[in-house]
Order: sequence, then C-alpha cells, then structure tokens
Amino acid sequence: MKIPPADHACLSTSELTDFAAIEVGRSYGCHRLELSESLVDAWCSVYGICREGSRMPVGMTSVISIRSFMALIPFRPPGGIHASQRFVIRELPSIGEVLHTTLVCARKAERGGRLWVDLEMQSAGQDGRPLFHGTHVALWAR
Amino acid sequence: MEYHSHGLEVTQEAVALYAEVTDDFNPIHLDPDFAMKTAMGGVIAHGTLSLGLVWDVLSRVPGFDGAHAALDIRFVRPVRLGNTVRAGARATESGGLEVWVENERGELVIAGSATVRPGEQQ
Repeated sequence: MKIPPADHACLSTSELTDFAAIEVGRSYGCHRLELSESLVDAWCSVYGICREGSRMPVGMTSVISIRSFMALIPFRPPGGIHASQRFVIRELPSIGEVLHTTLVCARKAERGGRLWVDLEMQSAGQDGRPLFHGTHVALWAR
Repeated sequence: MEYHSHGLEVTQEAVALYAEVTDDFNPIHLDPDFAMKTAMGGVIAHGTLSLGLVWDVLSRVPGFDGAHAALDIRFVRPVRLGNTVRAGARATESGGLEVWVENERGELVIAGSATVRPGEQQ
C-alpha cells in the first residue's frame, strides 16, 4: 500500500543529529501533516480493522508523533529505539484535517551507558486548537 | 474489571507496513544484518506498533470517548517477528487503569498506566 506524501517539515535540521548535537530547549520546528483517508486506512490495515467515523483513531496519535520526529530530526545515527511514551489527549482531529506538530528537546542525559533524549511534542488542528501532546523518550544510537 | 484487546501477530509484512505509515524506516526494524549487530541482537518491531493495542483496549473501557485520556507507558521488552501481542487494562483502586501488552509467552513488553475522564481536560 502506498501512502501519499503529505508531510512538510516547517523547520528541520539537515545535519546529522548525534547525541552531542542535540540541544536541550531547542525547538526543532513544526511538522505539517494532512490526515488523509489513505493514511488512516493504511494504519487500520496494520491492525486488521476498518475505518469508523469521521475522527482519527486514537491509536494514530503515535503515528503523528513518530512522523513529526522523523521529519524534524531526519538525520540520526541509525539503530535508536523508543524507551517510553506519554500522551495526553484533549481532542481527536477530523480525517482530512491538516495537523501541526511542534517538537522540542526537553532534556538529555547519559545514564547506565545509554543516551536518553526526551522530546516533547504538541499537536494542533488546522485552526490552531490544541489536540494532544506527549513526551517521546528515545534511546539515541551512538 | 479487566479488559483485553485482540491479538496481533507481528509479521514482517505488518512491520513493513507500519514503517510506511509512520515513515520510520529505522534499520533496526527492517534490516536483519544491521539489527543483528546492535544490542537488540536482531530485528525488533516498532514499539508503537504494540502500543496501538493499548488504545484498542482502552476503547473497551466504559466512558472512553476517544479523547480526554492520558497514557504513560514504558517499552520493557522488545517485540520480535513472529510474536503475538495482546493488550490488557485493569481498573486500579485510585480510579485509574493499569495497562500492559504481553507476548504469547505472557512476558510484558509494555507496562504503564492510563486515565480516562470523559469531558475533562487532562
């Protein structure tokens, strides 16, 4: 299944973002994503379910979060993994809506020989109303 | 009261499709040779692929309206190709929910907590 490109990073870095280059407190910009029917259908097919209603399935909050991370910090050392995730949801967007997600590095630390990076994300609807926010904790690859 | 999701068999096809959906083509999920050389010792599924099942199980909790919810989880064990994962949720005395995902051997792969408060701002 082909997912049409609908992402646009308003500001992103073009250089390799290794752990040393990550700046705590820095905003990595805003990611624009059109929540297309085809993207929702593709997500549903992963779980063997059918699209229902006019709102984004709540499980797709992860998709919005990961896509913004991939678009705004595109050049990372390969092999990093996701350690933990927090989401707070106020409202789910409508399918077809354009979402804007901002990404800020909240903290980074080296502990236990691992490189921890906390990324805070906030997603808003096309009219700017807040939808959901969360923290993606990554173990950065060396 | 305890709730359970359906089971999801984590196949190479599912992981490849999830990579397209998320635009996350990290080779640790897709390239066996690369993944073998990492601390994971082989290909692992995207953590949020299993996390989707937690939202599925929360949708079975009375009062869940698709929003006004909070979730806080840790990925505690990698999910491998061929695993079948299933999520669960259990009400706690404090009024929240304990949530988890386990593999076919009953091993935890995700652990955490959630709150579902219809109509309330989190």
